[in-house]
Amino acid sequence: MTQSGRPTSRARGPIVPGWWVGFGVLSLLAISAIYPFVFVALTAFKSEPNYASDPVGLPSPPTVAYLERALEVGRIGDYTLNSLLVVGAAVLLVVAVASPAGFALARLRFPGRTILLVGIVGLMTIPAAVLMIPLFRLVGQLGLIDNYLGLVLVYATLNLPFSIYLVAAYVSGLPREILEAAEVDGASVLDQLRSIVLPLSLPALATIVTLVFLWLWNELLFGLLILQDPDMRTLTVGLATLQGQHTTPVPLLAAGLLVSMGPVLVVFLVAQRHLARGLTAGAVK
Amino acid sequence: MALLLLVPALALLGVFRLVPIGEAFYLSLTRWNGVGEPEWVGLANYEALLKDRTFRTALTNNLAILLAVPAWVLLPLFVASLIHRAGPGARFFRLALFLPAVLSPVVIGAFFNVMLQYSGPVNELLRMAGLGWVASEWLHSSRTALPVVMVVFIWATLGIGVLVYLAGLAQVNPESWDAARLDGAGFWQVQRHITIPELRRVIEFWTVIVLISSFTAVFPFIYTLTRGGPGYSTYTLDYYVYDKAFQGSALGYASAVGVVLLVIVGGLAALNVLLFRRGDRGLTA
Repeated sequence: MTQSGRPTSRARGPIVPGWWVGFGVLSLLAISAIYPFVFVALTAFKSEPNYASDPVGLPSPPTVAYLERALEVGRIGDYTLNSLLVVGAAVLLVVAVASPAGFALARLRFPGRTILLVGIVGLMTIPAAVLMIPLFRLVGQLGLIDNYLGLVLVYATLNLPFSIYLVAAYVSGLPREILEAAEVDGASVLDQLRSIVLPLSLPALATIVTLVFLWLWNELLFGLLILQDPDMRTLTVGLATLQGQHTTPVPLLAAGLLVSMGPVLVVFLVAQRHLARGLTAGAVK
Repeated sequence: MALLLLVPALALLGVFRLVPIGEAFYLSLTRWNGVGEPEWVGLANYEALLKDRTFRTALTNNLAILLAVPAWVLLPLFVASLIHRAGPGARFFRLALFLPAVLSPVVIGAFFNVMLQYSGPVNELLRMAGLGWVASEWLHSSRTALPVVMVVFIWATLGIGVLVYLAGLAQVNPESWDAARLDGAGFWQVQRHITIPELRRVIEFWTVIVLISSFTAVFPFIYTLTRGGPGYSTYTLDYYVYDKAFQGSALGYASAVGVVLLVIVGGLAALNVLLFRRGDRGLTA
């Protein structure tokens, strides 16, 4: 193993003081990153006495009682549906609004374009804490507290600046000749967007769908403020409420956490190839 | 034409971003309990801030969090370098270390609350290792709560930094490392003389992200790990905004805290925009 491991590692990059030290550090970090999933999955199938006597071992015997209770008492199933509805609608809205805007900023010439682009990038960094009170008031004035639409609009806007920037960065990297050829053929701007830019930008759009889904699925603050009706809670808020009650047994909480981890894990594993591009759009060029 | 493509985005951003930012300033000059109309009080909120000990504690805690920035910048760089030359395992490590970043802070908070209980697995492990005297009420002692929150936060975001740095490392000419290896340079020498200089741009970019995040991204972790406690020992500016506004019903006063936060982050964001422009001449030129 050492014999086969060393040459590969050396051939690829700088030397380390002993290949195994680096490998060991990485392995420890990887275990710490994977362990929460293992812990939650095991605990969700334990009974309370089982968990109390053996918090880290295998469930013996395994039980689905707490998963059932999480769905009934904790209403985790209802909250999952709420989250899917709100997050799904927000992701669609983000893509529908950000793609034409990003395309226009990247490819069309008009006065104020640069300032607009810099302004939109600047908007990315406004802290949620600054927006929470005015947005709470605005959504209230629009009569959209305890209305899914209120949270959908807030969620979509939170992620618009990043998504517009990403589309613009991606489209401006596409070969110029393709659009110029289309223009010569008499294709209108809308035609170009629909039949050339959008199909070619699918990787960027996939990145946006993935990242925005993950962020919004996990969002806590605005979900807490805008959907206060216990029937309408998002999954994150439902779990935070469950966790806040000190009487909640750990296996019940774990069962809820397990349900909430499912969709993110699936999305992440399916789309992880696209993640790097999005997160590094500004870093490496 | 360009206008037509941009209108939906600009309308959403105008109503749900720009107007709320203006409103934040207005509300900071009022007294408002969340119902009825805000009452104009001029600069009274800001005068009160100067004498507010909790505000000073929150600001101090934010500055203390800055002490973690070097680790937060360099740890992912170090880990990315290890992964970069890990050979066949590189893909697995990159994937595994990113896992915590796709989890909701609520999930992470709940997990660590269980892990760090006084009779929980972490303390049990310490006792088994004969280090029982180190065992502590990690999240319920004012001495350890904030550092523990930061360790959890850095752990949770490590994968994002690693991904950003790996994208940077992929751009570096492999010959730089071969040359250093021939000269017999060790791991740390390579880091100092090749990796860090070559990745200067990426390190700058990540540093700005980290600086801004230290003021804006810790809230959900504080909410789920400590709710600001024990006492005020993990209050940060954004947590204080939330607490004053939605627990204390002082939304005008909370807005003033938010404006202070906006001014701090605005300075950092200006730096960010500068870096973005430098990196994207192709896009904005």
